[in-house]
Amino acid sequence: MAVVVLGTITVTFILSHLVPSNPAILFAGTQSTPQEVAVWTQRLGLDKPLYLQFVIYIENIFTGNFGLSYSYSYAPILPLIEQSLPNSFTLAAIATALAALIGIPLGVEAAKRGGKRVDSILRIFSVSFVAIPQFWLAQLLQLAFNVYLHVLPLSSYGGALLYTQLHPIKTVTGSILVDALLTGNFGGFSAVAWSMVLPVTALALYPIGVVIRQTRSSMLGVLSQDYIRTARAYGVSEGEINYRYALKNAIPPVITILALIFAGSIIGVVFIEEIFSLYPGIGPLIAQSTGTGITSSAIGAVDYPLVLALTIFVAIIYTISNFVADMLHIYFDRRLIR
Amino acid sequence: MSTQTVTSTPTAVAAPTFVYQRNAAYSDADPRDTSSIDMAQQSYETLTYLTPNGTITPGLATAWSPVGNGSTWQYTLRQGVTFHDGTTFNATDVIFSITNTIKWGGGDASDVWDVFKSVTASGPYTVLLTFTQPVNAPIITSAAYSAFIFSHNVLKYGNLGTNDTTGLHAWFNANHDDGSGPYILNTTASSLSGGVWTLNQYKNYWGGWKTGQITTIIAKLVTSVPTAINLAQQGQLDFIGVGGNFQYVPQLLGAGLNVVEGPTHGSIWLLFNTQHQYLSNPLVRQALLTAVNFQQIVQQAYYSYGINFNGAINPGLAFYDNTAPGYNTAGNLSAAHALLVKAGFPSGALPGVTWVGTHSTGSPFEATIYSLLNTYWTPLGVTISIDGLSFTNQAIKAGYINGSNPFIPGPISYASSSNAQDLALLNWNGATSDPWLVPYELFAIQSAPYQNDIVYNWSYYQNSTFTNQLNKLRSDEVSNPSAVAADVKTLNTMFYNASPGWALFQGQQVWVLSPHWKGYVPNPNYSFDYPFFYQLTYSP
Repeated sequence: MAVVVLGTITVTFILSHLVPSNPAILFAGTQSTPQEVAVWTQRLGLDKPLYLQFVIYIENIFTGNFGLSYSYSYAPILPLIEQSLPNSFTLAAIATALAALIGIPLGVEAAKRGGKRVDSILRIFSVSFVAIPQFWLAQLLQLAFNVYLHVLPLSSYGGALLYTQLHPIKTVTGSILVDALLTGNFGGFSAVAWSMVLPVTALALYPIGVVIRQTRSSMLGVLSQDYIRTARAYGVSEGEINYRYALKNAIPPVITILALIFAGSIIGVVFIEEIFSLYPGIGPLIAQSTGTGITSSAIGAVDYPLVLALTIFVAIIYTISNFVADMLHIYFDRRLIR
Repeated sequence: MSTQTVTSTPTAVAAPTFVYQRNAAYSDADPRDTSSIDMAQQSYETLTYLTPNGTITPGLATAWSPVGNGSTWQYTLRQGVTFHDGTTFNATDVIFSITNTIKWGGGDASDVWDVFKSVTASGPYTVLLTFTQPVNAPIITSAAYSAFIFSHNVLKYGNLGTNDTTGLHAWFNANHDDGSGPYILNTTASSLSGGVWTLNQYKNYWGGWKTGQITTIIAKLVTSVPTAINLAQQGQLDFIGVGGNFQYVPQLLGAGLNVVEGPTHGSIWLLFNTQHQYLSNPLVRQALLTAVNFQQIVQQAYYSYGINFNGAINPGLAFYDNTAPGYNTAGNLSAAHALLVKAGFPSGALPGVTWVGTHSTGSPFEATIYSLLNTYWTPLGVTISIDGLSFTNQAIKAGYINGSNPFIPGPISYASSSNAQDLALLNWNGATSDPWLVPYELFAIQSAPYQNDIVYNWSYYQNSTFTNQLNKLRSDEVSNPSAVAADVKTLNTMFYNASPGWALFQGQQVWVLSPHWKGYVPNPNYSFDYPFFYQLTYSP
């Protein structure tokens, strides 16, 4: 894991310094004079050799110093990520859990009824879920359930733009939803949970589609095997065959997919958090750091220290997710221990 | 503001809390260099202000007058002003703010104070500002950027040495504020990631307070324009900007919101590479501009929220001349062919050239402009290869950044190389409202030590007569006002004859304000018309 993370840091650092850009201009301003840019080049240490900049960067990382964010008032980066990650983590975890809870049973049902009407309908849904862009789906959901039907909140944790300012929720973990629950603020919990219905739906439909398809495909392979036929011959019920014998062998590739979905959702929240104005969140950090958010005023300016830090954190999340997936593989298939 | 209509989600922000949309994080709270002027101009003040029509009005200074030829200006300071820490404002603070801003050198400081020489006190409430040449100092001291006054006590609060400009930057950005404006920045570190910033009423503000004025301002990060529009319709946002998304205006008007349109001083400039083949010929440049349908560009690229104009000076700025020579805004292809014949192309068209045209991806409408230019210029033998880049990469392509470390601007000789673009589109807004500034930045030989460098002259126009005329205008503004009208006429004629570039249109800004808030008058002198919230009053 350490090697993967170190490799990511190295590659990202080198790439970010190879692309033709000049962070000094971000500090000095886009209409800055050469004098101002030169001053900032020196202040930022950009006049030092690249290897020296890299060594300094690695040293700083080990002390928790990821530098200052250009796009967030030159604030230290680590606290920004610490404040943002728990909410995005919660969104991603709920979406992944929904993908598993809904996608796996539907995938099993589709496999059981392979080629029949239910399978066709589920295939249409799963392909649609995968094909619809999340940012578009999010806006459609807002239009349908808020603007026209008035049944769900438009945006923001708690459902109103200033909800968390007017009804502060004590911070424990940093996740607004979890903290409301942990502190016994059930009114806050229900308001926040209600406001997360649309964002979570927008985030979860894609992974649900993926999991349905993966589970179906995996199950079809298992269901055609001899031991399943033998079980049927012994009179084992269909439910037991599908969920006890077949699913256990079909699940490892689904777990791998779920691990990737979870890690990917941490990135996937970019548009969801921006469209639903869910702050704090890792999505706005990514959008601001790359200048590629949905805001039309972005000038394409790149906040390299924040991009580097976010890349490192995302790499760590991917690595841990894959590690957990490997452990679950071992749990379901003890042969892997050998 | 009213409560939202969505069920089961409590919202009860009592008036007069004012909630407005930011579409990006408050990226820098240092008044010396911030570009987040919407926040800074509520907390900090300048010595003078510009009204929407360009008149200078008092701010922290109550009177000002030139001494001699206008190289030195005397300012009489307002008495009875206190900073947010309760200390009294006087000449010491003016001297500290200006010298420290220049020493720090961030943002637009060196543009705003480019000819600054010294600032001294001639009494506790009198300062003398001296420049290296006659200048219109009240315009400089009214600048939207880098002209804010803050207390000299900030060094003491930050435990900083006199020369620790970097330490002061960190102090400001740790959510500290010691201006004299009507609102105090009152945010925390978590405001950044939470996307919320608060400004509270400064009760001892020298201007006093009236019933109905805003006492609390909350800036909330909402990056999605459709979401912001729906929030405004639901009464959750009192003030939003539509940016370039003018297509939403009919919806906003239909919802009964107060849609306010105002001019900006920002224009979309088309810059020709005057050092490249064919484009070095002014007749060719004139022919190309003659073929352009300027009206159609405003309609199709900017939803008609722009103004066509002629000359080197924007409408709304002092000395704008609406009789300046220019081009037929509907375009005239046959006249363009005729000019090309005159330029030595008997067929009335160039011999099939493809030019690289750069623009910033931050302004997507600029790609539409190039598409339109392609349609106008194809009959003239010109095809544009559109190159959308980040602003930094556009600057690299233009040669402002030459890629070396430490930073050195590219030499003007780079302009003739094939690496330099043939055409550039720039959405440009001067750091001050001095009419001299934008044409100087975009079309003049830069002053020493950059006289051989590119900086933002991406037309690479190197005409000393034109540059001298610009400098004469700047000087005459103060030392010889009766000559200014003639200066401008000469300048505009020279600009038309050379046509090293041209303003395709001046952009407008559209804001949406809750009908409960009154008193907003767009002021193009201040960063895209962002309001001074102190001027608004609540009307239930």
